[in-house]
Amino acid sequence: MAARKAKDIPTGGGAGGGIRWGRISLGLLVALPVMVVLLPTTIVTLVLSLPTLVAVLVDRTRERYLVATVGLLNLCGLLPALIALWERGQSVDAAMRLLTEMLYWLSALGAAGVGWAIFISLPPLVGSYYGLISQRRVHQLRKRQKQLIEAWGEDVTGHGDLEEDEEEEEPEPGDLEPAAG
Amino acid sequence: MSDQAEDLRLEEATRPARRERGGQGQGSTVVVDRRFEVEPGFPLPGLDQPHARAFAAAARDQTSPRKVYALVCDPLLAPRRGLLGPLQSLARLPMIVPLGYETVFWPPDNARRGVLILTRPEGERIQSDTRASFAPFDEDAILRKVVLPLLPALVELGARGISHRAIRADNLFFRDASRSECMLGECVSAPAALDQPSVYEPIEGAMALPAGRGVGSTSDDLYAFGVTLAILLRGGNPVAELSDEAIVHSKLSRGTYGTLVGKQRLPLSLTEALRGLLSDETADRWGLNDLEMWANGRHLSPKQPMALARASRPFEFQEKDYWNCRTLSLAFGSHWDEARQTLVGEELITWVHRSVGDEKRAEGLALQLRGAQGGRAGDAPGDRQLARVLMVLDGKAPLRQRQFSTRIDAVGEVLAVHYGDQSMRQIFVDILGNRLINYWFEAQPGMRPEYAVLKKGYEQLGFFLMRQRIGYGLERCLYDQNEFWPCLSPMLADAYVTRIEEVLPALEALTAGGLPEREPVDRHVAAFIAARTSGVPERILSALGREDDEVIRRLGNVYLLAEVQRLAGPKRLPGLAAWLGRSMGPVIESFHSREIRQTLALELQASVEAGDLYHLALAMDDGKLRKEDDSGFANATAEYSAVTRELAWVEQGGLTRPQFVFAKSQQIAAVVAGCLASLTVLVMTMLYVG
Repeated sequence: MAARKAKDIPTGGGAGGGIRWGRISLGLLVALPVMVVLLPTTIVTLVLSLPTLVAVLVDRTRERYLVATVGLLNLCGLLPALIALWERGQSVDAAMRLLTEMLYWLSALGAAGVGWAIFISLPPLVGSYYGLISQRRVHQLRKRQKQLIEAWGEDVTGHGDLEEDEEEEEPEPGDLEPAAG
Repeated sequence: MSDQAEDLRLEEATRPARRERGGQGQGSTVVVDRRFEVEPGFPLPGLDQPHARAFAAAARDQTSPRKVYALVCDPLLAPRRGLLGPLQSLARLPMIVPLGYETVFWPPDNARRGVLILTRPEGERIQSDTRASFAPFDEDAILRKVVLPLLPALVELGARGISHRAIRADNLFFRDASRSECMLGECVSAPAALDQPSVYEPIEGAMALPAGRGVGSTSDDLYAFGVTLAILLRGGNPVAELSDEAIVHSKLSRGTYGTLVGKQRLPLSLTEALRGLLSDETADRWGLNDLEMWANGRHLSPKQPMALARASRPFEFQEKDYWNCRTLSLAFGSHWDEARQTLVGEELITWVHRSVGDEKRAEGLALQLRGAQGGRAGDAPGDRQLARVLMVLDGKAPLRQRQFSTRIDAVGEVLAVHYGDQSMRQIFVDILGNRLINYWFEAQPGMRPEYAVLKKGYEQLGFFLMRQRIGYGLERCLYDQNEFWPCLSPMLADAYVTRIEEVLPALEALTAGGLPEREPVDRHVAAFIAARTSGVPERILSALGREDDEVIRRLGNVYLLAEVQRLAGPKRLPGLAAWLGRSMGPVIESFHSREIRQTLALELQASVEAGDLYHLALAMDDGKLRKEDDSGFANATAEYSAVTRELAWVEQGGLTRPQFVFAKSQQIAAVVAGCLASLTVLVMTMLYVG
């Protein structure tokens, strides 16, 4: 836990920042020629990936689950447009014409929308699921406590010590490991 | 006399007839030592001893010509069992000798008692009791009926190093109805010299309590023999009306001869013997050789008593004048509190210095008294200081503190005989605590070989007293010093347990009417066992004293009795095992595991049924099981603690908190999106390629 927290602390500028900019620079150095060579593809991709760009701006978490969810499906929706462009020939004109066709917009934005929908609709479902899990776990843990008391007597509860422990530190999810099963 | 005659008539009764009468009386016959039958219904008061009651008895082997009788000993005392073996072989001598001894159930008392079987005198007692008068013996009768017949017995006893310590006129019997010869009475039914009136004791013994006269020596027997002769010559005790203190005072002032014979004119030859035997100086007293020579007609010059040094002026105490240190010491010892008040100031030191003229003694007194007062005039000396002052005044006198007065070799016997007296027990503790015994040894003019042994034994007592826990303390001193003393535990009051082999059967017998409420090991039982068995492990005795830990203490009880069972049997003790088993509740409860407790309960039941205390002890104190229980309990406690914390976390919404649910949802959404994307790419690839 402590290690994880330490890792979460931002390191700020200095050496870490330099490395990050270096990587970006290297990426651009490789990507820019490709983007120039495949300019029509780049135009279509950038335009139809707007939902993903929005997700990138909105999702500031480290894990970027929203970006992954929307981005992956947005990419799927983009693929028909890219295939069509490559069939029609790599030209800016073809790319412009293609961007005027609703079908490709529908495909890219629809797929991204599905991603957004999944992302927004899951929490209530997951909450209900964990509610059920909680009840079951409480039942299991109480049963185990009873078994321990039956096998070892009331002393096993160690009343005084336990109360002191509980007062001293609030249990955190990361600190807890299931006792059994 | 009439009792004796009745006894003789009873003896004449036929054996079967006696059995019948006995059966109708107080109970059937009691078998002693497998060889003798005692009839509780037929007391023989004429043969009673001060601390033992006599009953008719007979040998089971009907061909045996020897007549016997039984003495039922006082349950609060111990007979001199160490003499049983040596005396049995002396049956040919003119003395009553013990033929057997056993602790048996005695129906009239409804309790167990020590019963002695002794050879029975056919004649009657010379003096019916210590104060009775009788026809005086003349010189010829003394020699023919008393001295010559008894001399071989005295010589034999002396040769074997046995001191009789019960030679007195009322313990002499005519050997047969013709009254031509005497025989010595028995000497084993009570501790040495306990029954002797003080007149029969040398000065040092007479100053001591009856229990504190000790085993003594042949010299003490010869002194008592001399006193007996004097009393026989006078037809009774001439000082019967005097108190013990007055008798000793008279012996100190006038000598024993002067006290008993006075101005009575005696034949010269008897005067010679009496002066020799009644010498108050042990070194000057006649020995067996002297007596033998005199009996054979060789005349020795009479010993003249050495008069005590007389002071130029008396010391007044309790309105009496005392002219020497020994009599004053006697008076101080007899009037303790008054003596303490008298010793305030330096009057005594001045008297010894100026009137007695004994510089050394005066210095010794000054050391005690000035040291006692710590430089402050006007304070009365304490008990310890007064006891030391008495030793300075009379180094030969017994060890004295208040009413506790004993020869140095009988300190333990006084404790035993007076154990029921709280004040005597306290004085005993004070004597050891104040190191008075050591001081007594230091006050002696010379160190005798036997003193070293005694000193070592008393140092051991100090060690026992320092440890006040069960198995040690005063009780341990009692049993350590008195080899045959019965266990004084209230539980065993009716059992008369004197040997280690008798402890467990006695405890087992207590369970016959149901399990007693109290525990089977109390301070007396523990100390008795510790003293009677060599090598009871210290860890067991330590466990017995663990009042703070009930489990260890109760296990200690079981181990102690198991050790006795191992050493002395018997092999099966189901009642005692059940008694101990009932007290094992806390031991079993001390295990946490229910499964282990159930196992132990079964083991306990098996041990109780087998009556095996050692198995019981091992089952209840299984170290491996205890270790398993402890480690299992530690694990279970840790697990319970973890479960409790997790339960609290879950109940507080640990799994349904929005942050947690949202985080999980994000993960799931990403995974679902990944799966859909992969599937879509796969389908599109198939469509385009196809």
